[in-house]
Parts: sequence; structure tokens; C-alpha cells
Amino acid sequence: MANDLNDIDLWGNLVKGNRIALNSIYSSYFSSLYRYGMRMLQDEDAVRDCIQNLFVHLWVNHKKLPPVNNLRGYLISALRNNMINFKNVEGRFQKVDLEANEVFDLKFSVESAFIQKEEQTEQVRQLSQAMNKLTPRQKEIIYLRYFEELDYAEISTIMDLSIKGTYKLSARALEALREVLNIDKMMLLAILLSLKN
Amino acid sequence: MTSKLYHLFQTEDFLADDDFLRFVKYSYPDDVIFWSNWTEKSPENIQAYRNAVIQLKLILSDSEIVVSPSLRENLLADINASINQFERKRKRKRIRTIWLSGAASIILVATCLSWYFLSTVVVRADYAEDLLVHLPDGSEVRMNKNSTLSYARAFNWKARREVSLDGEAYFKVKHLNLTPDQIKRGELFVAVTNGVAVQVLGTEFNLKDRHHKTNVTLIKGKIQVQSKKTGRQYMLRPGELIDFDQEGVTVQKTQTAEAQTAWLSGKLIVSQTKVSDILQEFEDLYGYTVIVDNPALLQKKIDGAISIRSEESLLFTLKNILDVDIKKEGKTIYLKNRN
Repeated sequence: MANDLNDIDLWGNLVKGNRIALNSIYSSYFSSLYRYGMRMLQDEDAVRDCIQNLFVHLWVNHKKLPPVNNLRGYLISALRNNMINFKNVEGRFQKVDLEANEVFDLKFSVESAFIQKEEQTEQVRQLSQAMNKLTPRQKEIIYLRYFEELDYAEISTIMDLSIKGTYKLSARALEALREVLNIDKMMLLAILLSLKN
Repeated sequence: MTSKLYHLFQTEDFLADDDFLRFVKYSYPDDVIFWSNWTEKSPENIQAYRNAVIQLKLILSDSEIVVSPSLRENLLADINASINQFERKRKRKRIRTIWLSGAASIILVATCLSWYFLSTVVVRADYAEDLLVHLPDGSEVRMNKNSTLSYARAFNWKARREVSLDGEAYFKVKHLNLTPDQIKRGELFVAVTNGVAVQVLGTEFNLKDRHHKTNVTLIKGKIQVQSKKTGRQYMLRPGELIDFDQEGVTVQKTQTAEAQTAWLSGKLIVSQTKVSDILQEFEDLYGYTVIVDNPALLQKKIDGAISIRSEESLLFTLKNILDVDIKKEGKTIYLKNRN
């Protein structure tokens, strides 16, 4: 997941105050940002506002932007902060535990997975059920890893920014998941990390 | 890619492999060929591979959210519109800042200029202190003790060089005029006191104004003296002097030009001068009050030259000429008749 040379150029030009670079970055990453945003908020107007905020903010502060290794990771992280701010403002009057009742809209289904009939075993079904029981944060980790193809270092940077409070996923559920899924060690580690915080 | 030991991979290793992910996710032709070749060799871990494929397909089973092109374009337009608005505001702010800082610098410059053009330089020679002052035009002023000279800071910019004097001073005015029939701006030099205004081009003269009595003595050149009280004008030639009383009227005196400028060499030349006048001079120069117990003494007249270089020498001379005892108490001096 090395940074695209093109991305480095675009980012450098944006820092120098090039509007075309900003538009190019938008064109390259709008789809990713929109999809991720919709899975987080399930509210098109809100996602739209947050993306707009993000890009206007990038322009207004272009002189102060830090150097960036992975532009996709940076933008997703920035959008995530924007969305958390958005929810904070929205929930100003009713102090809700944002992290706890949040939804990350990611479903797993054996039927739509292009898995051949003979491979749709009971084990696979159990796996799918277990995965659907993952917390929103865990689903988010999976999404960022497999849909956005970010590496674990980037994912933990993104998640650490906002992980607070404790997630209660029973140890039993986690154990079951590991058994059926033979889950990737690193991913399990990431999930455990997110649980600890 | 071929360098990876895929035949040793567990399910989790496949799931962590980016190349494997790309194959399952996008099925690029190159990847499909690679992996079908790999499976045809029936590796021992083929089951782990199959599990990984199924798990990955399950993970990726949720369909991607559809992005409408019009939303993408509209949002970009909105972003650019609000950036443009921001830029216009920033520009207006910058222009305002430029205007404000411009106005501030103008005020600063104006303040400096008005200070320069309106303020006055004041030089004071204290009691018992002689001073030599160089004016901005190159003229020299030797100031006698207890005298104050003031002139505009922008001395050279004025239509005429003008100084005012309280006390006594000897002026060596630099001659700036080359064509006598045409006097240009700044060439005329004017020395003003309480009682007179002395107009010159370039000369040497002594000017004294104390206790509302004025004396002007010309050494070199030509000057015009105007009494401020009467408005009358007098032309002086070298060696001539003129005295004015409190009403600005000229009074006849027996003093010579030499006597008037003797202070420059630290002397007081007197001829038939009353003791009271000499004591007045001493008071003026050194800042004492002199009290004489015998009023008759004050009317006594004296001739000769007295050193005024220091108060001690002056007092010593007075003591001998007047035959008195001298007692000093602070700034008061008592002259007591010797019996």
C-alpha cells in the first residue's frame, strides 16, 4: 500500500496552494470517502456536509497541512474526525454515548458472496452469523482492511483517534469467532487492541 | 509474487496477503492465471487456500454503495463555491489590512514630520557654564553663562534661519548669500530676544538681553536691529553698538564694543560702572543673590578689567576693590564693610 507518486505530487501542489490539485484529490477519493461515510452515518446529507467541510478545510489550511504518507488513509481519518464532530454537534442536547450506539453498516451474507452452493457449508453459515455479530468498530476495521485496503498500522492510527470507552464483546463470542474464522492473527490483534481501549 | 512461499501459508496468512486479496477482489487475468496454475499443482495446503477464498468472499459480500455521478459533481461545485467565497473574504480582509497599515504608516510619518517641523531645540547654558553651539546651517553661537537659546528643529527648512535668545551670546553667522541684491529662502538669519529682532545675512555680533534691557554689538558685517516695542529699525556698522531700555527706546551708553565682547575672553571691562551693575552681572552669571550691608557702596563707580572666569576670582577682585569681607551662605553672598 505504498503511496502513489501521483498522490505525493498532488499533495505537494495542494500545500503550495494549487486548486487543481485539490479538485484532482477530490476526484480520486470521493467514491471511497462517500462509501465509508455512508457506512458510518447512513445519512447522505450528513456525509455530504462532512465531505464538503473536509475539502474546504483542506483548502483553507493548505499552508499548514502536514506531510502525508498515505493520502487515502489521511483523508479517511480526516473524514472520520469530521463525522465524529458532526455527531457531537448533533447530539449536543442529549448526551449519548456515540461510540456505543453507533452502527457501521456492513453485512455479511453467504448468499450474495458468490460462494458456490456446495461450499455453503454449515461452518460457513456459522462464520457469517458470527461476523454479523461483530461490533460496529470491528466491522469498521474489517471494512478499512478489505474494502479500503489500508494496512493495520494505518487502521490503528485512524481508530486510535477516537477509540474511547470499552466495548463489551463477550470473550465467548470472540473465542467462537476465532475458532470458526481461523481469523487472521493481525486482525484479531487489532480487534483485541480496540477492545482494550 | 512468485517468491512468496504460498504452499506454507495458513488461512490467516492468505487473508493477510495483499496479492491474494487483489485476486479474490478483482480477478485480474494475470492473477487468475497465477492462482489456477498454483492450485493445479495440488499443494498440501489447498484446503487453507479454499477457506481463505470463501472467508474473503464472505467478508466482501456486502455490495459497494452506489455513488451517483451527479452527487459527485454537485458536491464538487459546492466545495468550489464555498472556497471562492472564502477567498473573496480573505482578499477583502487583506485589502482592508493593507489600507489600515497604509493609514497607520501615514499617521506615523505625519507624526514624525510634524514633530520634526514643529518642535524646538532648546540649549541652556547654566550658571557658571559657557557653551559653544553649532547650528544646523554651520553658524556658531557662543553662549554666556545663564543663557538660553532655542531654534526650530527643522532649522534649515525654514524660510529664514531664526533663533531666540534669553541671556547673552556671541553669534558667528555663516554667510549663505552670494548675490546681495537677491536674498533667497533660508539666507536671512534672525536673532530674536525679548526686546529686539536682529536681522543679518552673515556677520559676527554680540547680543545681550537681561532684565528687559538689550544690547546689540556688531563686530563684523552689517545688521539691522528692530526694537520690538517701538518697531523702529536701526542699521549698525562694525564696531557700533546699541542699547535699549525696557520701553524699547535706545539709550546712550559709554560702553565700547570691546567691553561688550570682553566676556568671550573671560573679562568684565568696566568704566565708571556702578558697583550695583557689577554685582548684577555677577548674580546673572553665577546665580547668587548678593546682599550688601552698606547701600552707599552700591553707588560707587569703578574702572578696569575684572576676571569673570570663575566666581572665586571675581569675588576676590571685589573683595579687594571694595574693601569688604565676604561671607557665603548657600546661594547668598553677604558683603560686609570692613571697619
